[in-house]
Amino acid sequence: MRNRFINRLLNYRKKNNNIFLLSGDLGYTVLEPFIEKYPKNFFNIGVAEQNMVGIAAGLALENNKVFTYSISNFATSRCHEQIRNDVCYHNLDVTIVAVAGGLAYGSHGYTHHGIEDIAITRCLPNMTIFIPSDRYELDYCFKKITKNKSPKYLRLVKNGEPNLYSKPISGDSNLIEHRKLSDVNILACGSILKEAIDCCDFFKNKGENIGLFSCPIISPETTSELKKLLTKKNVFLTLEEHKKIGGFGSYVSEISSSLKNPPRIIICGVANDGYNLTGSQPYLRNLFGIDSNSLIKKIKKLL
Amino acid sequence: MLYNYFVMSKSIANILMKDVIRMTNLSKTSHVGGCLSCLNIIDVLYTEIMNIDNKNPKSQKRDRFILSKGHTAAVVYSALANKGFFPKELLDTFFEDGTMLPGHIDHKVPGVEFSTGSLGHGLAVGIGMALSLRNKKSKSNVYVLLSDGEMNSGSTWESIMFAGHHKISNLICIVDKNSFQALGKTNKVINLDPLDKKWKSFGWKTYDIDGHDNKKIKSALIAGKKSINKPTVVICNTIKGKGLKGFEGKLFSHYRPPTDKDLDNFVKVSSNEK
Ligand SMILES: [Mg+2]
Repeated sequence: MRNRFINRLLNYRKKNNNIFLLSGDLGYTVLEPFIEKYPKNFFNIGVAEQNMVGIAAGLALENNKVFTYSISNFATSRCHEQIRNDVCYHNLDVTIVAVAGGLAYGSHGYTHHGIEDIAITRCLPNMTIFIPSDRYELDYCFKKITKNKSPKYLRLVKNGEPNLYSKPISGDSNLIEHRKLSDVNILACGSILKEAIDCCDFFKNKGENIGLFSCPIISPETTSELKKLLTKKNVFLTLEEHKKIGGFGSYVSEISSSLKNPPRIIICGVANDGYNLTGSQPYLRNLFGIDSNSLIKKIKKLL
Repeated sequence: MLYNYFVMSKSIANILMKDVIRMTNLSKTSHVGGCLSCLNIIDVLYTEIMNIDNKNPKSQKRDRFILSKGHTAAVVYSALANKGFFPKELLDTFFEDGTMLPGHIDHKVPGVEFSTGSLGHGLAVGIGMALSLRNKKSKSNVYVLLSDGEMNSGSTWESIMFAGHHKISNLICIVDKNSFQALGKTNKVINLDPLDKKWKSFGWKTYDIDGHDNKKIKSALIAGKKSINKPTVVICNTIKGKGLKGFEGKLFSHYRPPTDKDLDNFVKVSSNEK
């Protein structure tokens, strides 16, 4: 996904001179094609994320489109106030690109778990969040990123994520239907969509349809679309690689709480209490009950 | 007791001072001390140095100014109003409910480039602007005014290192070294003296001057404009609360608003001196 991103950015730069890519000293074997082709449009800011976001804001004030690149927490938590004041309050065209969103760097330890990023970016003004599940969703998101002149957060995983689509995504919706709306449905956000697909396939083989929608974009438009979907009185499980507090599930619940007859929402995400776990992504997904097997168990109880 | 503010014909120091005292008195708000310490710097920037145009505040040819010590917004609002960027009557709404002029400087005010208020943000943003201007081969300069308390911030040093390394010569930084920060003397909180040597060691051209001498401020800033291979810092040694009787060099000048009597006294003294 990282390489796909830099490939998209490179193509975009070909037609647009005012693109800047800033890195917080990360991106080995990823950023090189861009740096080699457009050295004047790239700065390695060093291990200095606050400075990176401030510089991004200054460049954007001069009518440039700027991308900052780092690992999840360094890209967001470390420089959150710069994102808040400098980028979001001024409504600038800066895209905060984070790699290793979610539990992708699970074995590296808690410092590298990107599981609070949605909560802390979602609450900022003018911000649109992009959380693609695979390279097709990334392409879909990137198209929208090129047109959007406000602050954006793009959460990537790493490389080699499986393709969850067989062809480019068409249309303009922020909610992508994978399985028709049913009595029980999953709303998935990010690469964990794979677990939801596996879960739905399990039930499909038993002749049961579980609804499935992917939600790679969090924006006011998504809110409108979700409002319509949630008026149907079904059960919705939200699925994300993020703390249950403040993330995608919270977002869906907030929307649901504004409805006259809200559906039942079950948030599936990472627990906040007693968090001291380290391990691979599949291992942690299983522990937090957000892998396909755990989902199957949860849904069996609902049917 | 007034100082030698009228060293240059264009100076509006006396007007700025009256506005600042009046604004903080009317709104009963803090930060008069820090406004007065950087008052001559603002005076020189807005009357002698910067290329700005109230008729075309977003002109590409303009110089950029960022007040990184955003808590002293009042003096910049006054400079902009006196330069015709917005009606002067608005200064009396400083800090009011629903005002266009919030306590910390805000980019929605005509002529203000950037909102600050959290220290340690302005220099990085100035670097971004300067890099873009340099790429476009623009002749404009970027001026950033920092406080000496702000020199505690790690983010400020991230920016100092970066600008020195990249030789961003269209960037001119000014430090209002009034020797105080919110809870005490800066050299008692975190002693950074000799400050100029620290900047110098990171690749900056440095000037260490009397920050209440308009001529010296002007010549240091002009030298900064001419720099071709280094960013420039002008460390202005200033007095917190300068010119306001009883407030000079006092920590409370960071907090205490001038009373009606302070304002009357100032008006009386300044008209006697004319
Ligand atoms: Mg100070």
